[in-house]
Amino acid sequence: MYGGSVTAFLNRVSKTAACALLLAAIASGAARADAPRVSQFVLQNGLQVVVVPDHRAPVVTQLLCFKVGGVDDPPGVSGLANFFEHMMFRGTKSLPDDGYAQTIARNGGEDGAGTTHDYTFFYDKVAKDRLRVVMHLEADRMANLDLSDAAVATERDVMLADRRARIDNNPEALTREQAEAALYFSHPYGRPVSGWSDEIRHIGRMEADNFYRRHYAPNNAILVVVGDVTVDDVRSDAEAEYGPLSPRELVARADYAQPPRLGTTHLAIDSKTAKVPLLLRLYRVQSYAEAAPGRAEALEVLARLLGGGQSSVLYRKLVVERGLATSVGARYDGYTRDAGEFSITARPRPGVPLETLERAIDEIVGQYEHRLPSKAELSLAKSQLVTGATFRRDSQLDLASAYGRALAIGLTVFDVQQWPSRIQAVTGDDVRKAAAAGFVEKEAVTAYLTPARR
Amino acid sequence: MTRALAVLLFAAALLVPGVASASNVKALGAVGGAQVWFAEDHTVPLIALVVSLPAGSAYDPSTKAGEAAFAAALLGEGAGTLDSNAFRVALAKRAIRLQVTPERDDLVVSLVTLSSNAREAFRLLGMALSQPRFDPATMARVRIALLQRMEEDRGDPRSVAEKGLYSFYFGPYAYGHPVSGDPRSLASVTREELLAFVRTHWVRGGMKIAVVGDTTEAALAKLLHTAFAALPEDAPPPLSVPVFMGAPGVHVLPMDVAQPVAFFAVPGPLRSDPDFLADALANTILGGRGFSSRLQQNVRDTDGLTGGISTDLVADRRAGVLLGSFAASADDMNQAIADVRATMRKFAADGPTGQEVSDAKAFLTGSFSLAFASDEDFAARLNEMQRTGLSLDYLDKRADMIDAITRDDVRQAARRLFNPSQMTVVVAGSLPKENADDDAANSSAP
Repeated sequence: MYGGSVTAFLNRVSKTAACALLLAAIASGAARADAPRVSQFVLQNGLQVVVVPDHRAPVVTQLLCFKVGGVDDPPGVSGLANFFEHMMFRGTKSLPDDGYAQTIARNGGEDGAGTTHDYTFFYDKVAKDRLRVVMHLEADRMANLDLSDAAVATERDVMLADRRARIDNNPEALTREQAEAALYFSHPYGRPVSGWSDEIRHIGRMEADNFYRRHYAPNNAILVVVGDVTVDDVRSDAEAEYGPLSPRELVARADYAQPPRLGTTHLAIDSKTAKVPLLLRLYRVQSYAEAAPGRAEALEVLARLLGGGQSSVLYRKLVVERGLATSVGARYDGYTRDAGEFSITARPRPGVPLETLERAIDEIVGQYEHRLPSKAELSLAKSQLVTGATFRRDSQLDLASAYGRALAIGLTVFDVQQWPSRIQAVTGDDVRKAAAAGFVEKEAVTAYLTPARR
Repeated sequence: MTRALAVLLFAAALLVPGVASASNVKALGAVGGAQVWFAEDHTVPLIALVVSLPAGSAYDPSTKAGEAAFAAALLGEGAGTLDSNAFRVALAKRAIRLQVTPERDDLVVSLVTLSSNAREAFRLLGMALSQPRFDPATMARVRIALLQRMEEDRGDPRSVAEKGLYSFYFGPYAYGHPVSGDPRSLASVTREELLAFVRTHWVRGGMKIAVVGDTTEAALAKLLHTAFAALPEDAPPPLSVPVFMGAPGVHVLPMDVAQPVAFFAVPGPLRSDPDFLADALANTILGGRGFSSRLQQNVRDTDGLTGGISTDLVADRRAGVLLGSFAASADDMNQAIADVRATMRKFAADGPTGQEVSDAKAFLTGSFSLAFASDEDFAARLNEMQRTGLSLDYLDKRADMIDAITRDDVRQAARRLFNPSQMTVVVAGSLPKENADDDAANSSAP
């Protein structure tokens, strides 16, 4: 249809899902000499700004990324960060109720938002002469949100309904939620971003107000603008709209322990609603923020090599050659401030026990701890990752997200620009080391989802 | 705040100028039988191609539901001299992205490649289309995966409700069965049947090609020749016209779920209908996605019954429907359905406000143009126009056509469309028995 294809509440329900949206990165000189030039500056109030011009069409995307997420939910109130993302659409003193959405619509724009464990983002895509308008809207709701008891109560019902539809209706999402809770012990990465239903019910106006005052401030945010703009235009518009906002004193994020896991964890979930069995393996590994240079990139290559699509090792061996699975994939989610996550998901071919599938997976991935991947495997994985970065330059939102998520976890613009060359530099031995360091049995949770027998 | 900004924020909607122009897109005559549109842009070194073929699920033989989707799933699973694995590796080596989406009318294939790999990408696409292998072992593997996905979908209330809606709404007509088919018919499709299907449906007759990106007209002509010249030129016979549509009332497909899902539909316009854009404005105001619509305000924002609700005008070639969906708890479902009916009834009776009409116009005009900032989105949008029979100058005329629609036109559209007594509703889940809606007629799966 001819409407925008993006809904106003594109909530990311977990760190993992968020990374799916934000799986974006920029190519450097690898692709072409005239790759986009990136500028950055900081406003007096601490707002970080990144600008990437792209003059294909008179369209611009602004992404505002706050360094607050599910990790910052107070004890007993999981889901608050996600809830707050919803409340940002509930009106300000000068633009009450759904005035934000109405203004976006009447300016022919698209908007959306999402929450992860580490950050919360809002974006607007509009004709370039409307950039100032959407900056005004974001600046307004960063400072002047008008929270009423009634709006909080209704949005809480919406959150509960949304959680039931997205997570409770989906056996795979529930399994992942349970597995993450088991993987991270007391670290808040184990609490779902969407919140536990019984804790969502605790959210009130007081909690929301406190959260807003603590975390929504220009000195806790990153603004990325991609599109048909010049740096000077963005600077003067940003100064005019965001400049007057006062910085707030930020409360340092709690430094949560990530104690070593001393035992293996195996979850067996018998589900009334699941129709097909599923195997999920999660490893707690290093993130881009934690790892020494090149280490996270090696995990990225390892995930692509093992389970990135139908040419990957696991797919070829388990689905095509041995007929043990109907689907299998691996993924590395490394854009987190604390631990990253390496996941393997597989569906067994009918009649194949999950135990057999798990043994076969362990056998294959185990080999990569001891021997180097073949040259062909390595170059296939690397060229797909690097080309993927070029493809994502085709989307303003993907490109903006690549900068937003990186800066939100403490990386730099330079890190994003260098990513393709650092992927290129990954050697077979780096991949072997990443496998050996990452595939630690005690740092993993294995979940079996099985349809309950009736 | 500057005065200009205040105007943009608070005053009546201003129309956003269209950013795409027909002058940026050329209609080429490169491949016999197939329509080709091309927009050249060298910003990112890639080429995006979207091609549609008359090979959707509506062409499934009556006892072979799922045949078109099965053939589609095998596109790229081996062609010519390359078996399935060799073909996948050939694509992966150059990071060529090939996506295949079977719909009801068409099979939609999209290809994204670095421009430096264009020759190989188009050669592989040509092989996949004109020389599919359908190796028995590959067929068996893909069929098992498709059957398993169908089984998985049986536990997903969204999928169950959507399939149920189409089944109740279209009955035995070609749009009534799921694109993926059903387990029994899919299990019965043979290799010979697949080969016969692609000979008559993976063809240039009725094919539409849209290309955007880093190439030139001359280079593209050669690429298109590589990909499509070997295909037959004849088009399949047109689809018949449905005899009846709609099954008014609430149909419950019982299943044990945390949150039941409802799909609802009323008759909508064909894309060729002269009032289509007025209907599109009415739909936007009622339940348009990304718009602050009446349904979103009433059912979500005010009553808090759902995480989101939206409606679309789905204009397939032989029938149009206004299709909506939402999820709500079993206890809230009747209230939510009543909200939808009341919202439609009131809209039909009172019409839209002037503000709503101007907001919806600005939204439809502006958001249409946003796709042109991405080669891939642009190609998809162009192909969508081709498939729905629009001409290239529509890019230039669309904003004026929308601007010319009056509030009264939208009022009449609302009166035509929003007839809740004609509404087919399918709920996957359960309703509480004690307060079942009066006109809720419980029935089993068709």
